[in-house]
Amino acid sequence: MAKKIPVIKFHKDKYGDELLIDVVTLDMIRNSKGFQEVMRQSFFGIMLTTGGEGDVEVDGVPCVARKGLVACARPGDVCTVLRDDGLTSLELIFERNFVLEFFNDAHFLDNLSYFSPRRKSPYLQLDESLYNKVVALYVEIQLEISHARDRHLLRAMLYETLMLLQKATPVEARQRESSETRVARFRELVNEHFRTENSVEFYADRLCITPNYLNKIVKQSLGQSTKEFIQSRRMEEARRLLSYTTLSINEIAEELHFETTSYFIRAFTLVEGITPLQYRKSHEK
Amino acid sequence: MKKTALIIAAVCLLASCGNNNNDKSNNNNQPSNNQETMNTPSNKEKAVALLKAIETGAGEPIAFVNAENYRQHNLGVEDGLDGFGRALAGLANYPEKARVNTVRAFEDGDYVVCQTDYNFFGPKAGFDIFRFEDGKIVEHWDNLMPYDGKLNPSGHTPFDGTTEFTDLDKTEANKAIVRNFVQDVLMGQHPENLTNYFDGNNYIQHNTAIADGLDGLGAALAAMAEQGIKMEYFTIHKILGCGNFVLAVSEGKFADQPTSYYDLFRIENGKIAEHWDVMETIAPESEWKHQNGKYNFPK
Repeated sequence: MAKKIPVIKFHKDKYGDELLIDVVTLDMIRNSKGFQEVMRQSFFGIMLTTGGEGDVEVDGVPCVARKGLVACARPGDVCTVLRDDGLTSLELIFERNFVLEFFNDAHFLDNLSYFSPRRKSPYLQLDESLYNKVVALYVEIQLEISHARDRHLLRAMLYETLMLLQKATPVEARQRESSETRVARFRELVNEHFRTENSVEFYADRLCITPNYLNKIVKQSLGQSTKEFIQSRRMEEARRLLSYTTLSINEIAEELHFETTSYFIRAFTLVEGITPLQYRKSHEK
Repeated sequence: MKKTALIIAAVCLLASCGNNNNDKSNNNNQPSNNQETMNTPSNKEKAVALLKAIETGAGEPIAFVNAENYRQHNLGVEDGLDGFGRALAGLANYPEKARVNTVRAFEDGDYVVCQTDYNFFGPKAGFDIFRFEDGKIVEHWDNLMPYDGKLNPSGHTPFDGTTEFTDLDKTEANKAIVRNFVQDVLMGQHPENLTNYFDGNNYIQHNTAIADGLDGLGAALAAMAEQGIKMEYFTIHKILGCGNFVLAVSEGKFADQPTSYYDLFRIENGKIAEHWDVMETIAPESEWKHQNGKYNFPK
């Protein structure tokens, strides 16, 4: 099945020859080609918050980011910034192979507390001393990349960073959002966007969940499919426009972003049992 | 008397390195009582007065320059005192009034370093270095860059920050720290030594584009890498210092352009605490007004 959430890939030849490690900023990720607010990354990322404040979400787990908060993302994790009040960060990113090329232990990364598949939280909080050490390592890595690009030195600096982070305090993860909260947010989003967006994928992306999962929780909570719910919200609006405005059927189809007028008429008739024109006439009386 | 007044006004702003016999007036709020200072200004006072004359048009400080032997290293100004004179004459036709406020100055042996907030053919930040022989200026180097008055990401200008010269007994140790830092980190010989040079993340940055701290430096390095901009240091030409302040004069490339770097560091307890810099693109040789070169410091 095709992935619905776009994947951000590692820019391997940014420095000419292939290099599987880099340090980037939040702004740079946002300015990268094909960037969308909700993305999966295909590499490991250790985002160190350096200033400002925001709400971030990694792998469905939300957290408030302030200076010293580290968000650890594994390949495949969905990462997003939900609120940004001047958030700044430095992110160390690397491919699994950059580490595996040297370490014999294939599970080395998975055994780190913050990258483990069984981790309690993807977040760490650094105290001032650890923050300073990690920032300095990031800058050393950047300087090495911009000069000799010695892979062994870079790997040693990465190793030191990974080991230092083992000493950091894990941040108690907030409870995963309940499905009820998610459905409530879904309904708000539909109210906001139903005129222009009617794909399940659009809403699933905004909620940082898969379309299948969205369908499941909407069905459980509202007793109808996601598609049906979005469609019923559009029809409700269509009825209002038919009753209270003099917009033509064409104009209403256009306003609600139906592909064609005849499709709008068919869809409306299917739900209401009468055509839009008949509906308007019956409400004029 | 005008000359004396000018010198006294200037010297009150500036600190002394304490290594010059003539330079005793700094802690004196009534310099008129100090006959020695009035009669024999220090090299630093002479350098500051000469620069200020660019703004005031005072003729007297020109006498501090050795008229027979004045070697110019600003590549856009002709050699000799007459060359300097011709550059000043051009100011008369410039639409903006010249401004020269030297914010820091110090002596190191026969050299005087001045850091100046200029309007010299437009607003600029600059460093000047003068070499003295027998009390007269015989050689001049500088690095200038346009400065639009904007604050950097941490709210600093290329001039503000402390002007207090301390640790006068640590000049040589601090010069060694800066030389090693430029070699290890800026020239990239041992980037892994970075942490040795800083007190954690405490680093006040006056570069016009970079924020405070090592994290600010990290963000700037990331942004440059993303744009494919390389900042390269190849050669250290001169290290001059006075107590807690050390200037490194280096040559390299910025974004593939031959570039002259003047980096002033303030050292506190053996760590780099603050940084001011001026970067100047080195003009191609075809545009040089003389063949003295931009550096060529005497051995």
